[in-house]
Amino acid sequence: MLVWALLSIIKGSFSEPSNKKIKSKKVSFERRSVRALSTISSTTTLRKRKQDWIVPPYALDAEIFENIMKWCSPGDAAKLLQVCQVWSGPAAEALYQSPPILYADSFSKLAATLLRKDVMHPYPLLIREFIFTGLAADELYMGDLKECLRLCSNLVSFRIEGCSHLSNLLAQFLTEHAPFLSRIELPGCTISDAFLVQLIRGVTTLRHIDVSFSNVTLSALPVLVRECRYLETLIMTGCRPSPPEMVIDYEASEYYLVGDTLKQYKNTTLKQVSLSYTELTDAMVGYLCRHCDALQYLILEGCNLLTDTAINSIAMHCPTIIELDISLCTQVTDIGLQALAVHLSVQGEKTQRRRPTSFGYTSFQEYTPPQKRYHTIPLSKINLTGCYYITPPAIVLLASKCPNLNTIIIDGCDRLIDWYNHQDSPASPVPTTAREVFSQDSDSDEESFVSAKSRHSFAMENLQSERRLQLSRDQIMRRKREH
Amino acid sequence: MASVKLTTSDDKEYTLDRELIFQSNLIKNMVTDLDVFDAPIPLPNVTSSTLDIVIKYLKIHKDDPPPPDKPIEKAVDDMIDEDKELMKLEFNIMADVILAANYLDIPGLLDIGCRTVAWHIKQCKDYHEIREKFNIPKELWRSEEEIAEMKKELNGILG
Repeated sequence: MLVWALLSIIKGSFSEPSNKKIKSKKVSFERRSVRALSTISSTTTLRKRKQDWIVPPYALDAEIFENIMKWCSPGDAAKLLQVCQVWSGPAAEALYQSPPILYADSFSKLAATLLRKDVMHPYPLLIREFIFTGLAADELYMGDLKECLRLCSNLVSFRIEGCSHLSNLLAQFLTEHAPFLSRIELPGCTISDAFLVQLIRGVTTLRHIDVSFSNVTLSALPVLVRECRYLETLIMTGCRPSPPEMVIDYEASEYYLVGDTLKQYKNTTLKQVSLSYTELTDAMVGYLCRHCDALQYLILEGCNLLTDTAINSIAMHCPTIIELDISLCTQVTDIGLQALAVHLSVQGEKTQRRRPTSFGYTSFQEYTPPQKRYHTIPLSKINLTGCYYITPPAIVLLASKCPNLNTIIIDGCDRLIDWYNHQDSPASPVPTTAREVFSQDSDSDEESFVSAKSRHSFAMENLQSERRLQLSRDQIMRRKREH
Repeated sequence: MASVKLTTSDDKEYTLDRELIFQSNLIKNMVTDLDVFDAPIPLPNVTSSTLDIVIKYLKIHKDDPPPPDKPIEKAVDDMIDEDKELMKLEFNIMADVILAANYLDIPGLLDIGCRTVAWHIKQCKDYHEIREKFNIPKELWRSEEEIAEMKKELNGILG
């Protein structure tokens, strides 16, 4: 009897899906049930009104419609606009989300529609993204753009490619009229440092900035790093070098600040940085790494002024690095890779070991088994194209320290070609259990992949010889503490 | 307990294997979060015929690997043949299935349902055909003046 009563109570509680008693951590479940309830009410009322109506597809709610629309081309969306009242709203939204601006006169036609007063749908508010390429960018008039930006307050993403007459007033327009702008791409436009600084000070919600091949110089980098609070991606490929009159001391006194004061200057949101084909120096890379400790993807292709010092700074200050591209940085040698391997593994150990006891000292149980230490290094891809000073031992060391490393690109590394050729011979020092494929053709542009499985067998072979070293070091450390 | 009980809106009870029904994220979350005993879960806006079709889909995709994090670009009708057969339905039934997939949160079924609808829309040449195919009643049609007005507005974006 009791059990039956209990069951019926639970059944009762289940029949109201949005019941607050259900303390589900998954908010989506509650939201979905509320939406489902609204769907039920709409279907039931429609059914009651006319029995012979075929109720769905109108009862399809907005999310499903959006899902359908993403498979439809603009032409289909145009057809749907004309079908019926219920469908034209979502169809307009899908169509105007990122209006195609392909030809020289497209934007003026679009502007004419946006500026019209009594239209069927609020078109400007539906626009989320503006993309101007090719001829449309060339023929862009600032006046038209300003008028449209004034109306499109929901703009999230903005891109202009290769516009030669962008004025600094654009930064002001965007500051005033685009409160949700999070992505801005201006490759090849004639913008200057002043524009960029004004933009980032005005539009504080930016997460993604791309100013490749523009007139922005590297002296804008410190400002970007220090002042953008939400920035996650920064692409400054092909930017010009700092003008000679601007002398920035990257090794300035801020480097010597310790503890909390340095923390204020640290940028914890910047994750992806691309500074390819710029005249980046070691000091700048050091500055970048010291201030951004959450860097995950660092692309420094073609920065041929960089030496091992830069790699050392990356290794010391960016433990979360996942992908590193130092192709065509021809001055990088084995020392850089060794620094990378050693510092990253030390960083990994540090994060494992920090376990304070009640007295504030780190506990004595500091010996973590070797397997645990290696899990914290996330480095998974490194591109060493054209770094011809790299030799096999450095690669072996890097591979043994980084268990997640599954892609090494070594096109054009001459000293590694012979190593590959002798790999299968019995006299080679490389363990023959590793079955790896390296690209040996310096002309090819294809990537070469190393299988993760062979990576681990590789690492384990080297580990055994190192383990003896590790144990003896720990024994020495323990003896020191005891005394 | 290896099975889960469901009750549809027309009071029919279904007993399904946990593995099968756990493709539905809603049921999975409900059962694992709430840890209730054998009470049947009511589905007030899913009919038994719809649930039959959903179960057919779940059986076809029982052993699928979990979907990758980054969605792969697919063509509109890039579905396996059994899914295509499953989706050869009248529009009202298909819409019911899509709504059920949305409610039960079965992403695969929702995806192929939406793609089938999009494919049918692509097949129609203009809005008259869409109206006929989807059986949209006259009361909801837009008037001719409104359509002419919209054509002018569309000129701005498609012209």
